[in-house]
Amino acid sequence: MKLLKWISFSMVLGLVVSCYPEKDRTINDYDIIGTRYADDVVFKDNYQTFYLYDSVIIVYDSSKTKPDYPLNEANAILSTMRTNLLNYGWTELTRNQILAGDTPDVYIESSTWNSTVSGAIYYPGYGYPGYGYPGYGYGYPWYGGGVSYYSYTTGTIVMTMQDIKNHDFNDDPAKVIWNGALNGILNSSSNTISRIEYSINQAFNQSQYLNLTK
Amino acid sequence: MKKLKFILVGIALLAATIKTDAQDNFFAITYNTALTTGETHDFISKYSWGAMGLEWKKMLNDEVSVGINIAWQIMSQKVENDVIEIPDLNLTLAGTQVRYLNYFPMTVTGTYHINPEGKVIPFIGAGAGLYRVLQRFDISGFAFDQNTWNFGFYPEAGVIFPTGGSADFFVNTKYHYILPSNSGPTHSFLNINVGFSYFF
Repeated sequence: MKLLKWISFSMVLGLVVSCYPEKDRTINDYDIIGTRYADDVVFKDNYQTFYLYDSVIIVYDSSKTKPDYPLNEANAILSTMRTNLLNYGWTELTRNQILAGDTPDVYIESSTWNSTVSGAIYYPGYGYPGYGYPGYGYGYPWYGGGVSYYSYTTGTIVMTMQDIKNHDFNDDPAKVIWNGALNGILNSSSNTISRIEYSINQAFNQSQYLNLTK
Repeated sequence: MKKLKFILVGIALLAATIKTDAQDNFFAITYNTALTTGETHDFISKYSWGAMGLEWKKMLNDEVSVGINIAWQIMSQKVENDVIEIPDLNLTLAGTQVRYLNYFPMTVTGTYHINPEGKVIPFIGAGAGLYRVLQRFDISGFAFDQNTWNFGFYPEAGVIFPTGGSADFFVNTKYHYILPSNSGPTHSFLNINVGFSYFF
Protein backbone atom coordinates (compact mmCIF):
# COMPACT_ATOMS: atom_id res chain seq x y z
CA MET A 1 0.00 0.00 0.00
CA LYS A 2 2.92 2.28 0.82
CA LEU A 3 4.38 1.52 -2.61
CA LEU A 4 1.07 2.38 -4.23
CA LYS A 5 1.02 5.74 -2.44
CA TRP A 6 4.53 6.54 -3.60
CA ILE A 7 3.74 5.56 -7.15
CA SER A 8 0.54 7.60 -7.07
CA PHE A 9 2.48 10.58 -5.75
CA SER A 10 5.07 10.19 -8.53
CA MET A 11 2.33 10.07 -11.13
CA VAL A 12 0.74 13.24 -9.80
CA LEU A 13 4.14 14.92 -9.76
CA GLY A 14 4.68 13.82 -13.34
CA LEU A 15 1.31 15.27 -14.19
CA VAL A 16 2.19 18.66 -12.74
CA VAL A 17 5.48 18.75 -14.61
CA SER A 18 3.81 17.83 -17.87
CA CYS A 19 1.27 20.64 -17.50
CA TYR A 20 3.73 23.00 -19.17
CA PRO A 21 5.13 20.92 -21.99
CA GLU A 22 5.85 23.85 -24.31
CA LYS A 23 6.75 26.51 -21.78
CA ASP A 24 10.13 27.35 -23.23
CA ARG A 25 9.85 29.89 -25.95
CA THR A 26 12.49 32.11 -27.40
CA ILE A 27 12.06 35.81 -28.07
CA ASN A 28 11.79 34.97 -31.77
CA ASP A 29 8.78 32.78 -31.05
CA TYR A 30 6.81 35.94 -30.28
CA ASP A 31 7.54 37.49 -33.68
CA ILE A 32 4.43 37.71 -35.81
CA ILE A 33 4.15 38.73 -39.43
CA GLY A 34 0.82 39.72 -40.90
CA THR A 35 0.07 40.72 -44.46
CA ARG A 36 -3.15 41.85 -46.04
CA TYR A 37 -4.20 43.03 -49.47
CA ALA A 38 -7.19 45.09 -50.53
CA ASP A 39 -10.25 43.52 -52.07
CA ASP A 40 -10.41 43.30 -55.86
CA VAL A 41 -6.77 44.19 -56.38
CA VAL A 42 -4.75 42.30 -58.95
CA PHE A 43 -1.12 43.31 -58.88
CA LYS A 44 0.28 41.52 -61.89
CA ASP A 45 -0.23 43.38 -65.19
CA ASN A 46 -1.73 46.36 -63.36
CA TYR A 47 1.31 47.70 -61.53
CA GLN A 48 4.96 47.88 -62.44
CA THR A 49 6.80 50.76 -60.81
CA PHE A 50 7.24 51.76 -57.21
CA TYR A 51 8.68 54.61 -55.21
CA LEU A 52 10.09 53.64 -51.81
CA TYR A 53 10.13 56.49 -49.31
CA ASP A 54 13.76 56.78 -48.29
CA SER A 55 13.21 57.05 -44.53
CA VAL A 56 11.50 55.00 -41.89
CA ILE A 57 8.73 57.01 -40.24
CA ILE A 58 8.94 56.93 -36.46
CA VAL A 59 5.58 57.05 -34.73
CA TYR A 60 5.78 58.43 -31.19
CA ASP A 61 3.93 60.37 -28.55
CA SER A 62 4.45 63.98 -29.64
CA SER A 63 4.34 65.18 -26.04
CA LYS A 64 7.58 63.30 -25.46
CA THR A 65 11.03 63.48 -26.96
CA LYS A 66 11.35 61.85 -30.34
CA PRO A 67 13.08 58.53 -29.85
CA ASP A 68 16.24 57.66 -31.70
CA TYR A 69 15.98 54.86 -34.15
CA PRO A 70 19.16 52.94 -35.00
CA LEU A 71 20.29 53.83 -38.49
CA ASN A 72 21.45 50.30 -39.24
CA GLU A 73 17.97 48.97 -38.48
CA ALA A 74 16.34 51.60 -40.67
CA ASN A 75 18.73 50.72 -43.48
CA ALA A 76 17.95 47.04 -43.01
CA ILE A 77 14.22 47.74 -43.31
CA LEU A 78 14.55 49.80 -46.48
CA SER A 79 17.11 47.63 -48.21
CA THR A 80 15.21 44.41 -47.49
CA MET A 81 11.97 45.90 -48.79
CA ARG A 82 13.74 47.16 -51.91
CA THR A 83 15.43 43.82 -52.57
CA ASN A 84 12.18 41.92 -52.30
CA LEU A 85 10.31 44.26 -54.62
CA LEU A 86 13.08 44.13 -57.22
CA ASN A 87 13.19 40.33 -56.96
CA TYR A 88 9.46 40.30 -57.61
CA GLY A 89 9.95 42.16 -60.88
CA TRP A 90 9.00 45.65 -59.79
CA THR A 91 10.86 48.66 -61.17
CA GLU A 92 12.00 51.36 -58.79
CA LEU A 93 11.65 55.03 -59.59
CA THR A 94 14.17 57.27 -57.89
CA ARG A 95 13.48 60.59 -56.24
CA ASN A 96 15.03 62.42 -59.22
CA GLN A 97 12.77 60.56 -61.64
CA ILE A 98 9.77 61.57 -59.55
CA LEU A 99 10.93 65.20 -59.51
CA ALA A 100 11.40 65.00 -63.27
CA GLY A 101 7.74 64.13 -63.65
CA ASP A 102 7.51 60.36 -63.58
CA THR A 103 4.69 58.94 -61.54
CA PRO A 104 5.09 55.57 -59.83
CA ASP A 105 2.30 53.02 -59.87
CA VAL A 106 2.60 52.52 -56.13
CA TYR A 107 4.10 54.39 -53.23
CA ILE A 108 5.60 52.38 -50.38
CA GLU A 109 6.59 53.58 -46.96
CA SER A 110 7.58 52.00 -43.69
CA SER A 111 6.85 53.15 -40.18
CA THR A 112 7.79 51.90 -36.76
CA TRP A 113 6.93 52.32 -33.11
CA ASN A 114 7.53 50.71 -29.76
CA SER A 115 5.00 49.86 -27.08
CA THR A 116 5.66 48.89 -23.51
CA VAL A 117 3.25 46.51 -21.90
CA SER A 118 3.29 45.89 -18.18
CA GLY A 119 0.95 44.48 -15.64
CA ALA A 120 0.31 41.69 -13.24
CA ILE A 121 -1.26 38.29 -13.64
CA TYR A 122 -3.00 36.62 -10.76
CA TYR A 123 -2.96 32.88 -10.96
CA PRO A 124 -4.76 30.43 -8.76
CA GLY A 125 -3.08 27.37 -7.36
CA TYR A 126 -2.27 24.66 -9.85
CA GLY A 127 -2.44 27.07 -12.74
CA TYR A 128 -4.06 26.33 -16.00
CA PRO A 129 -1.86 24.15 -18.19
CA GLY A 130 0.05 25.53 -21.07
CA TYR A 131 -0.70 29.22 -20.82
CA GLY A 132 2.48 31.12 -21.51
CA TYR A 133 2.52 34.86 -21.83
CA PRO A 134 5.51 36.90 -22.84
CA GLY A 135 7.40 38.15 -19.86
CA TYR A 136 5.52 35.80 -17.59
CA GLY A 137 8.55 35.63 -15.34
CA TYR A 138 10.71 32.80 -14.27
CA GLY A 139 8.36 31.21 -11.80
CA TYR A 140 5.60 28.94 -12.90
CA PRO A 141 2.32 28.91 -11.12
CA TRP A 142 2.79 25.72 -9.19
CA TYR A 143 1.41 25.19 -5.77
CA GLY A 144 -0.68 27.80 -4.16
CA GLY A 145 -0.93 30.59 -6.69
CA GLY A 146 0.20 34.18 -6.47
CA VAL A 147 0.94 37.14 -8.68
CA SER A 148 3.44 37.48 -11.51
CA TYR A 149 4.53 40.90 -12.68
CA TYR A 150 5.64 41.42 -16.22
CA SER A 151 6.87 44.15 -18.46
CA TYR A 152 8.06 43.96 -22.00
CA THR A 153 8.45 46.23 -24.99
CA THR A 154 7.34 45.31 -28.44
CA GLY A 155 8.50 46.82 -31.66
CA THR A 156 6.25 47.13 -34.68
CA ILE A 157 7.13 47.81 -38.29
CA VAL A 158 4.39 48.48 -40.80
CA MET A 159 4.91 48.54 -44.54
CA THR A 160 2.21 50.28 -46.52
CA MET A 161 1.70 50.19 -50.27
CA GLN A 162 -0.63 52.79 -51.80
CA ASP A 163 -2.13 52.90 -55.26
CA ILE A 164 -0.89 56.02 -57.07
CA LYS A 165 -1.70 54.81 -60.57
CA ASN A 166 -5.44 54.94 -59.98
CA HIS A 167 -5.43 57.88 -57.61
CA ASP A 168 -7.31 60.96 -58.79
CA PHE A 169 -5.16 63.33 -56.71
CA ASN A 170 -8.04 64.90 -54.85
CA ASP A 171 -7.79 65.44 -51.11
CA ASP A 172 -8.42 61.80 -50.29
CA PRO A 173 -5.40 59.70 -49.45
CA ALA A 174 -4.39 57.10 -51.98
CA LYS A 175 -5.92 53.70 -51.46
CA VAL A 176 -3.85 51.28 -49.43
CA ILE A 177 -3.59 48.09 -51.44
CA TRP A 178 -1.13 46.12 -49.32
CA ASN A 179 0.08 46.11 -45.74
CA GLY A 180 2.75 44.15 -44.05
CA ALA A 181 2.99 44.35 -40.27
CA LEU A 182 5.75 42.87 -38.15
CA ASN A 183 5.64 42.74 -34.39
CA GLY A 184 8.02 41.28 -31.86
CA ILE A 185 9.42 41.66 -28.40
CA LEU A 186 12.47 43.89 -28.24
CA ASN A 187 15.56 42.76 -26.45
CA SER A 188 19.15 43.81 -26.30
CA SER A 189 20.52 40.93 -28.31
CA SER A 190 22.50 41.48 -31.46
CA ASN A 191 20.11 39.59 -33.73
CA THR A 192 17.63 42.43 -34.25
CA ILE A 193 18.81 43.05 -37.80
CA SER A 194 18.45 39.39 -38.75
CA ARG A 195 14.96 39.29 -37.18
CA ILE A 196 13.96 42.36 -39.19
CA GLU A 197 15.34 40.89 -42.40
CA TYR A 198 13.72 37.52 -41.77
CA SER A 199 10.34 39.09 -40.99
CA ILE A 200 10.30 41.36 -44.02
CA ASN A 201 11.38 38.49 -46.27
CA GLN A 202 8.61 36.37 -44.77
CA ALA A 203 6.07 39.14 -45.36
CA PHE A 204 6.93 39.10 -49.07
CA ASN A 205 7.16 35.31 -49.20
CA GLN A 206 3.61 35.00 -47.95
CA SER A 207 2.46 37.70 -50.41
CA GLN A 208 3.13 35.87 -53.64
CA TYR A 209 0.42 37.90 -55.36
CA LEU A 210 2.96 40.78 -55.33
CA ASN A 211 5.27 38.74 -57.53
CA LEU A 212 4.99 40.22 -61.03
CA THR A 213 7.27 37.62 -62.58
CA LYS A 214 4.89 34.69 -62.08
CA MET B 1 -33.12 21.56 1.83
CA LYS B 2 -35.13 18.51 0.90
CA LYS B 3 -32.78 17.92 -2.02
CA LEU B 4 -29.78 18.17 0.28
CA LYS B 5 -31.30 15.57 2.60
CA PHE B 6 -31.80 13.27 -0.36
CA ILE B 7 -28.18 13.68 -1.34
CA LEU B 8 -26.94 13.06 2.20
CA VAL B 9 -29.07 9.97 2.57
CA GLY B 10 -27.86 8.77 -0.80
CA ILE B 11 -24.23 9.26 0.19
CA ALA B 12 -24.82 7.48 3.50
CA LEU B 13 -26.42 4.53 1.74
CA LEU B 14 -23.60 4.39 -0.77
CA ALA B 15 -21.02 4.47 2.02
CA ALA B 16 -22.86 1.70 3.84
CA THR B 17 -22.90 -0.37 0.68
CA ILE B 18 -19.20 0.11 0.16
CA LYS B 19 -18.47 -0.87 3.75
CA THR B 20 -20.65 -3.96 3.83
CA ASP B 21 -19.80 -5.25 0.37
CA ALA B 22 -16.06 -5.71 0.76
CA GLN B 23 -14.20 -6.71 -2.44
CA ASP B 24 -17.14 -5.55 -4.50
CA ASN B 25 -15.51 -2.31 -5.45
CA PHE B 26 -12.73 -1.68 -7.88
CA PHE B 27 -10.50 1.36 -7.97
CA ALA B 28 -7.76 2.24 -10.45
CA ILE B 29 -5.39 5.12 -10.93
CA THR B 30 -3.70 5.34 -14.30
CA TYR B 31 -1.03 7.28 -16.07
CA ASN B 32 -2.59 8.14 -19.41
CA THR B 33 -0.91 8.64 -22.76
CA ALA B 34 -2.66 9.32 -26.04
CA LEU B 35 -2.29 9.20 -29.78
CA THR B 36 -4.45 11.73 -31.61
CA THR B 37 -6.47 10.76 -34.65
CA GLY B 38 -8.64 12.48 -37.24
CA GLU B 39 -9.19 16.22 -36.91
CA THR B 40 -7.48 16.18 -33.54
CA HIS B 41 -4.38 14.80 -35.23
CA ASP B 42 -4.55 17.64 -37.76
CA PHE B 43 -4.37 20.09 -34.88
CA ILE B 44 -1.84 18.23 -32.71
CA SER B 45 0.09 15.28 -34.09
CA LYS B 46 2.53 15.01 -31.20
CA TYR B 47 2.06 12.05 -28.86
CA SER B 48 0.60 13.03 -25.50
CA TRP B 49 2.47 11.84 -22.43
CA GLY B 50 0.02 13.21 -19.85
CA ALA B 51 -1.93 12.96 -17.76
CA MET B 52 -4.04 10.66 -15.55
CA GLY B 53 -7.28 8.87 -14.87
CA LEU B 54 -9.27 7.70 -11.86
CA GLU B 55 -11.75 4.89 -12.11
CA TRP B 56 -14.20 3.43 -9.66
CA LYS B 57 -16.41 0.45 -10.43
CA LYS B 58 -19.09 -1.41 -8.56
CA MET B 59 -18.89 -5.14 -9.21
CA LEU B 60 -22.38 -6.41 -9.94
CA ASN B 61 -21.04 -9.95 -10.06
CA ASP B 62 -17.70 -11.60 -10.82
CA GLU B 63 -17.75 -10.52 -14.44
CA VAL B 64 -19.74 -7.33 -14.73
CA SER B 65 -19.19 -3.94 -13.21
CA VAL B 66 -20.53 -0.42 -13.65
CA GLY B 67 -18.76 2.69 -12.55
CA ILE B 68 -17.50 6.14 -13.24
CA ASN B 69 -14.31 7.42 -14.75
CA ILE B 70 -12.73 10.85 -14.67
CA ALA B 71 -9.55 11.67 -16.49
CA TRP B 72 -7.39 14.47 -17.77
CA GLN B 73 -5.51 14.37 -21.05
CA ILE B 74 -3.12 17.15 -22.00
CA MET B 75 -1.88 17.65 -25.53
CA SER B 76 0.33 20.35 -26.87
CA GLN B 77 2.54 21.04 -29.82
CA LYS B 78 4.79 23.86 -30.85
CA VAL B 79 4.95 24.61 -34.57
CA GLU B 80 7.66 27.08 -35.46
CA ASN B 81 7.22 29.68 -38.16
CA ASP B 82 4.01 28.38 -39.61
CA VAL B 83 1.60 30.30 -41.79
CA ILE B 84 -2.17 30.54 -41.56
CA GLU B 85 -4.46 32.07 -44.15
CA ILE B 86 -7.69 33.87 -43.35
CA PRO B 87 -9.21 34.23 -46.81
CA ASP B 88 -12.25 36.25 -45.72
CA LEU B 89 -9.94 39.03 -44.58
CA ASN B 90 -7.28 38.62 -47.30
CA LEU B 91 -5.02 38.10 -44.32
CA THR B 92 -1.99 35.89 -43.83
CA LEU B 93 -0.27 35.45 -40.48
CA ALA B 94 3.09 33.85 -39.83
CA GLY B 95 4.60 33.04 -36.49
CA THR B 96 5.31 30.34 -34.00
CA GLN B 97 2.19 28.51 -33.00
CA VAL B 98 1.60 26.67 -29.77
CA ARG B 99 -1.47 24.50 -29.79
CA TYR B 100 -3.12 23.03 -26.73
CA LEU B 101 -5.89 20.60 -26.01
CA ASN B 102 -7.09 19.60 -22.59
CA TYR B 103 -9.71 16.89 -22.25
CA PHE B 104 -11.61 16.13 -19.07
CA PRO B 105 -13.78 13.05 -19.69
CA MET B 106 -16.42 12.36 -17.06
CA THR B 107 -18.07 9.13 -18.04
CA VAL B 108 -20.16 6.29 -16.76
CA THR B 109 -18.71 2.92 -17.61
CA GLY B 110 -19.67 -0.68 -18.01
CA THR B 111 -17.11 -3.48 -17.97
CA TYR B 112 -17.12 -7.20 -18.59
CA HIS B 113 -14.24 -9.12 -16.99
CA ILE B 114 -13.20 -12.25 -18.85
CA ASN B 115 -11.88 -15.07 -16.71
CA PRO B 116 -12.04 -13.11 -13.42
CA GLU B 117 -10.30 -15.85 -11.45
CA GLY B 118 -7.40 -16.21 -13.88
CA LYS B 119 -3.75 -15.21 -13.56
CA VAL B 120 -4.51 -12.32 -15.86
CA ILE B 121 -7.93 -10.75 -16.14
CA PRO B 122 -8.74 -9.33 -19.55
CA PHE B 123 -11.72 -7.05 -19.75
CA ILE B 124 -13.70 -5.11 -22.31
CA GLY B 125 -15.99 -2.21 -21.71
CA ALA B 126 -17.35 1.09 -22.81
CA GLY B 127 -17.93 4.52 -21.40
CA ALA B 128 -20.01 7.52 -22.32
CA GLY B 129 -20.57 10.93 -20.86
CA LEU B 130 -19.54 14.54 -20.81
CA TYR B 131 -16.20 15.84 -21.96
CA ARG B 132 -14.89 19.25 -21.09
CA VAL B 133 -12.69 20.28 -24.01
CA LEU B 134 -10.34 23.26 -23.71
CA GLN B 135 -8.70 24.16 -26.98
CA ARG B 136 -6.19 26.96 -27.40
CA PHE B 137 -4.47 28.22 -30.51
CA ASP B 138 -1.62 30.59 -29.75
CA ILE B 139 0.31 32.36 -32.45
CA SER B 140 3.22 34.46 -31.26
CA GLY B 141 1.57 35.05 -27.91
CA PHE B 142 -1.87 35.92 -29.29
CA ALA B 143 -4.19 33.24 -27.98
CA PHE B 144 -7.59 32.12 -29.20
CA ASP B 145 -9.65 29.81 -27.01
CA GLN B 146 -12.51 27.49 -27.76
CA ASN B 147 -13.82 25.83 -24.61
CA THR B 148 -16.77 23.51 -24.95
CA TRP B 149 -18.79 20.81 -23.27
CA ASN B 150 -19.16 17.82 -25.55
CA PHE B 151 -20.72 14.41 -25.49
CA GLY B 152 -18.41 11.51 -26.13
CA PHE B 153 -17.97 7.82 -25.74
CA TYR B 154 -15.33 5.14 -25.99
CA PRO B 155 -14.85 1.41 -26.27
CA GLU B 156 -12.25 0.02 -23.92
CA ALA B 157 -10.10 -3.06 -23.56
CA GLY B 158 -7.54 -3.90 -20.92
CA VAL B 159 -5.91 -6.41 -18.68
CA ILE B 160 -5.52 -6.64 -14.92
CA PHE B 161 -2.42 -8.44 -13.69
CA PRO B 162 -3.08 -9.67 -10.17
CA THR B 163 0.03 -9.48 -8.02
CA GLY B 164 -1.23 -11.29 -4.96
CA GLY B 165 -0.76 -8.11 -2.96
CA SER B 166 -3.22 -5.35 -2.29
CA ALA B 167 -2.60 -3.60 -5.61
CA ASP B 168 -2.65 -5.10 -9.08
CA PHE B 169 -1.08 -3.88 -12.30
CA PHE B 170 -3.52 -2.50 -14.77
CA VAL B 171 -3.29 -1.56 -18.45
CA ASN B 172 -6.04 -0.44 -20.75
CA THR B 173 -6.72 1.31 -24.00
CA LYS B 174 -9.67 3.48 -24.95
CA TYR B 175 -10.66 5.08 -28.19
CA HIS B 176 -12.37 8.35 -27.37
CA TYR B 177 -14.78 9.76 -29.91
CA ILE B 178 -16.08 13.19 -28.95
CA LEU B 179 -18.94 14.70 -30.87
CA PRO B 180 -18.73 18.31 -32.11
CA SER B 181 -20.10 21.16 -30.05
CA ASN B 182 -20.72 24.77 -31.06
CA SER B 183 -19.68 24.04 -34.66
CA GLY B 184 -16.31 22.88 -33.39
CA PRO B 185 -14.43 19.86 -34.67
CA THR B 186 -14.92 16.20 -33.85
CA HIS B 187 -12.25 15.11 -31.42
CA SER B 188 -10.76 11.66 -31.22
CA PHE B 189 -7.77 10.03 -29.62
CA LEU B 190 -6.52 6.64 -28.54
CA ASN B 191 -5.57 6.28 -24.89
CA ILE B 192 -2.93 3.83 -23.76
CA ASN B 193 -2.86 3.79 -19.99
CA VAL B 194 -0.93 2.00 -17.28
CA GLY B 195 -1.55 2.03 -13.58
CA PHE B 196 -2.58 0.24 -10.48
CA SER B 197 -5.86 -1.14 -9.39
CA TYR B 198 -7.25 -2.85 -6.41
CA PHE B 199 -10.43 -4.46 -5.17
CA PHE B 200 -11.80 -3.46 -1.83
